[in-house]
Amino acid sequence: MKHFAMLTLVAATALTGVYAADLAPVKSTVKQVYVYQPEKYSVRQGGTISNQFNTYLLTVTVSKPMGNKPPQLQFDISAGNFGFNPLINPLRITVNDIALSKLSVKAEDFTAWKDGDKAGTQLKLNFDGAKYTLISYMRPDSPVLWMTLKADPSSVEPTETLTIQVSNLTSNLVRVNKKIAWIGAYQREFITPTRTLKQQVKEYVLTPAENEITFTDKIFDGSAKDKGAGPTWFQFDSSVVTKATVTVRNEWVNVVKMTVKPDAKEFKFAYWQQKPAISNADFQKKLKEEKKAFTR
Amino acid sequence: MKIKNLLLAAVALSAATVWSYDLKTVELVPVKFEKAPSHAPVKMVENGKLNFAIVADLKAEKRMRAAKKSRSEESIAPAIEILTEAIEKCTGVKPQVLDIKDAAKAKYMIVLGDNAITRANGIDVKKLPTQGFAIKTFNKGIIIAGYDTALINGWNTKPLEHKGSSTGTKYGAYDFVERFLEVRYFFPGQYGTIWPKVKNLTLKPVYYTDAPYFDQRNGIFYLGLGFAKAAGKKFWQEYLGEITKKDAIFWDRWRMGGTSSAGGSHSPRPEMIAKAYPDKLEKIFYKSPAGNFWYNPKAHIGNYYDVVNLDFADILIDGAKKYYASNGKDNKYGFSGCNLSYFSFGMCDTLLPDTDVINHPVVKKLGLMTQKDLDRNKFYAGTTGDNAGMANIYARFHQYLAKRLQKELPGVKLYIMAYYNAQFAGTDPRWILPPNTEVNLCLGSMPNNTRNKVIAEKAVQVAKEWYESLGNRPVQKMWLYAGTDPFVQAVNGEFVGDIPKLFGKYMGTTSLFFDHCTGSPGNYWFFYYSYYAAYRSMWNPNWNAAAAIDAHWAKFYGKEAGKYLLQFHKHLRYCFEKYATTGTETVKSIVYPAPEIHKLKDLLAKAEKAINPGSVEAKRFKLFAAPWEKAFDKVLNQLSYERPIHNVYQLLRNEKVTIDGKGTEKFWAKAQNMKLMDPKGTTTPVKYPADIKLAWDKQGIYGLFTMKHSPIMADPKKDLFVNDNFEFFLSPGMKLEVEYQFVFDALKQTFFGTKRHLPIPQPFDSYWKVKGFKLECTHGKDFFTAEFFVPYSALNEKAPNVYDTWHCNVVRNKFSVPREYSGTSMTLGNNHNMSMYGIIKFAGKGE
Repeated sequence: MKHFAMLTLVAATALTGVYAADLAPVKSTVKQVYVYQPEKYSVRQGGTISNQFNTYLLTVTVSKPMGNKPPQLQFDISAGNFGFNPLINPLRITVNDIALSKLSVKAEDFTAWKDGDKAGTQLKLNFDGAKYTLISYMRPDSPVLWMTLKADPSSVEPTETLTIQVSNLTSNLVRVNKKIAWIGAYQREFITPTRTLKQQVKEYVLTPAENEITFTDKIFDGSAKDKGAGPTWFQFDSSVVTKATVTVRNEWVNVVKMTVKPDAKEFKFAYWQQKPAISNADFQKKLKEEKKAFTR
Repeated sequence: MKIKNLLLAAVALSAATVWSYDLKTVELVPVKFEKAPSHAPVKMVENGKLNFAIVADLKAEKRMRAAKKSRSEESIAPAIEILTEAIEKCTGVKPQVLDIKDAAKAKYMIVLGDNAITRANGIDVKKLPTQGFAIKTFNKGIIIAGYDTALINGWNTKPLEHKGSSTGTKYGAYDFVERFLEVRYFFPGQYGTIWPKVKNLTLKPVYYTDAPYFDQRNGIFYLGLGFAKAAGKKFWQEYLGEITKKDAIFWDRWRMGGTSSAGGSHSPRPEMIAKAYPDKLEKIFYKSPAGNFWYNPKAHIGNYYDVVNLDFADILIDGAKKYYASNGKDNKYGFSGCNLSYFSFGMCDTLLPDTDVINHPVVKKLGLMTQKDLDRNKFYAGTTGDNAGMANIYARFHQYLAKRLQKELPGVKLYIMAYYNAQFAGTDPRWILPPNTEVNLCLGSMPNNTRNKVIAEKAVQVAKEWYESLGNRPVQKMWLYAGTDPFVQAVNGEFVGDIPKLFGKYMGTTSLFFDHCTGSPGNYWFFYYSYYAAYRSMWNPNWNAAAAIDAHWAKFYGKEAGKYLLQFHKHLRYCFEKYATTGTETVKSIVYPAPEIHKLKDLLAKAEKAINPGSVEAKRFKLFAAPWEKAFDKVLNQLSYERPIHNVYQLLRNEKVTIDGKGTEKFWAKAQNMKLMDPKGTTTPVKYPADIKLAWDKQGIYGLFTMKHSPIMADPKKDLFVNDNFEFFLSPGMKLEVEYQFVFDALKQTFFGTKRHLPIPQPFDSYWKVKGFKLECTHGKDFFTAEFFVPYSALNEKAPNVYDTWHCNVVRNKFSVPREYSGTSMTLGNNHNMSMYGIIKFAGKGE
């Protein structure tokens, strides 16, 4: 892992000059994986998608019914301790008012996926007859995790509503006097293609041009060991989105909510984060220099 | 050197053949030693040669019986058989049996029963306690004589006397062979008795007496049941070897039985009294203010006598008078346990919810069910039954019935079966019971909780309340329950001796009855050591049962295997004490931690390894080990049990169900089959699978259950609980607030029940009306299909949201032979054990 992290750093800085032919193929596997307290889960399938620049771990868990708690599905994305992280349930999909967490998913519904040089995973979802496939993949030339939520033509019910919620725990979770600071210890600043969103209580409504967000924190800017992990990045296809909002609050978790057109055949979005810390400034530079890698 | 060794070996061999008995061995109940007579030791057996004969008045008992002077079981004749068998097996020589008139022919003798020699040696059998005996040596041998009702003029000669027998001499014979020859009767069949080899037997002067603590030591019904049918006999032959007629009464060797008349049983039989008074059904059986009529002509269960109505007591008295006047010949009323001593009254196996009776006008008018009564339920909840609500209703009824008996049939006592709703004594001073009343107290928590301080204290409180209700007289009989958990059964026999000590003056000495909670063939011989302890403790509760059981392992299984089995049994005791005696609720099923189970498994494996295959010890071990593999399996499975989640198929808009019992709709093929398992927790595969499928829409739940065999027990005359049937349990949501039960058989007979558990537990309502429930069944040569519909409205529920989850359990009862009990949840055999239910998930469309 350490070796891989170094590779990522080296590769990331040199990415501009790498020719496609020199790129290592994307690897992806899906298998049962260890999760914390595995005895509590009836399904715990893990997908690993990696190329020479980055590695993403996707996990599908279905908890066993415990006492009054019904079984619950969770789809997690991780490439580090902060940013998009299993702790905060980073991706929530709701179709026709049915939350992804309620769905019945079997281990065999989560499988490896490949299309040319793109490789990743796919997860079959059935929202009471409105069926979707969630494809997550990487390209050989990019550190980004590309995702597509594809409507399945075998659906027996139409989609009337579709919302996607992406949660982000930016850079660091602070402890003050040995207690976790859920609020009040952060200086969040999220950057879209058109503006920098400062902290405020009210959520921001994004314009169609604001189809990507870099989540940063000014205190925990990733520039040193005690400055957190640095920024993370999210992009989505705003052409099929009717409304998108983002919270930028002095809180540990902030949320992007997207209302997708119900008749959209697919909704594309993308995550980026990396395990080695990166400073806000370095990431902005990277984003600029490796534009192609961050473009679908 | 060789000669010296040979001499040493000869000395050792000679020492080994000199039989030395230990009359005070911990292996046997202690006896009362009297002043020993003075005489020289008597060499009864020398180098395998018998110097004695068995001497008795061989015709005394038969004379009495022939002259109809006594209707007692014989005692001396079986004593002769017991001695003859034991002596022949131990010495290889059959002893001579001489009549008392020929006694002079014998050099030495074992004298049995009352006769001139016995009397001449100072034993007056009439002065011995009932069932007691004396054993006394004299210069010519030994006398074994007891209190034998076979020799008592007028014993049991009246038609309805129905007494048992005192067979003191027989018990003395057993004691002699156990104490002097060290014979041990552990279980019936070829391998269950230790017959030591005896070459020499010299009697030293001794005189002791003994008698049982409890007059009735009972459970005979169960121990006899196992061999009563061919199938049961075949089952046990696998473990016990050849089973003879004597084995069918093996319990006799544990000195079970007694003299008092039977009483305190279920009586009358509901179907018979209903038939005897067909125009009075509404006076005999209870009808609640809501109109629930507790009369079930098809079974014992489901009937409830109207104890609110004293007219019913008058009906009982009317029947009783005719029954007694005819000396019991006219018993169309189904009286049981009714004799010259007792008139038994005991409810059917049905629990009446307090809610069904609290609003009865008589109950309200007389204040028969007050808040105080209901609060007693809270006090006793979980520990020893929580059915005290009707205590004063019963007290009033019992008082009235007893008073009428006193007037109409003086001398006959009312024997109450204190069970279910009648378990608790009345506390209202208006209903103190008259002196012609006795109580059989059925305590489900005993003997398994004698060592649980909290539960034991509450059980004693129950007995104390009866004591007070009886005008400071004790309950005379206690009904104990063995339960069905092997980890409990293996040790609970050792707790039976605790009973009289625990209950003190609140418990009399008339009777203990041990309910083995099983039908034929039963499982009790697998736990012979526990029940050996139980029944011997009924004879003498001060016996150190645990020490006796500990001492038997090495003797019975060999030194090495015995060592491991002793450790095994001690570990069972340790686990029980550690995990099962500290809670505040009665233990229903024990789940010891896995390391304890693995330790037990290991010890059992070591014991098995130490036993030579094919040896008698191996045969014994086969019986001993038989229940454990499944028992371990069951606990380990419980520890790793995951409640299964079943998807309930959602009907698409174009899919409809016709409830016709055929299940021909195409969607059923797509519905998930709920897999059956052994609800008791073993991994034993289900031999007779059934397809269990559920579907749902916004109106309700549809079921298609198919047994792939013919329901050959389907009989319209029988209750659906004895026909092949399905039981379907639901608890909406995840909070286990309410339970719903639907039972149906191939004849479309149904039973519905419901119980609210939260926020305040309510009684089970077996009169629940399920509006809109539809059921159709079809059955044939090799199938039985039930198709049904349960509307949410019947459950007072809205339609669930897609992906909502409920608790659900389906039980399949295959009563046709071979029987099989299976279900979709590991409920440990309790179909209402909701915390173990599986989950049904209302699936999305197209799943």
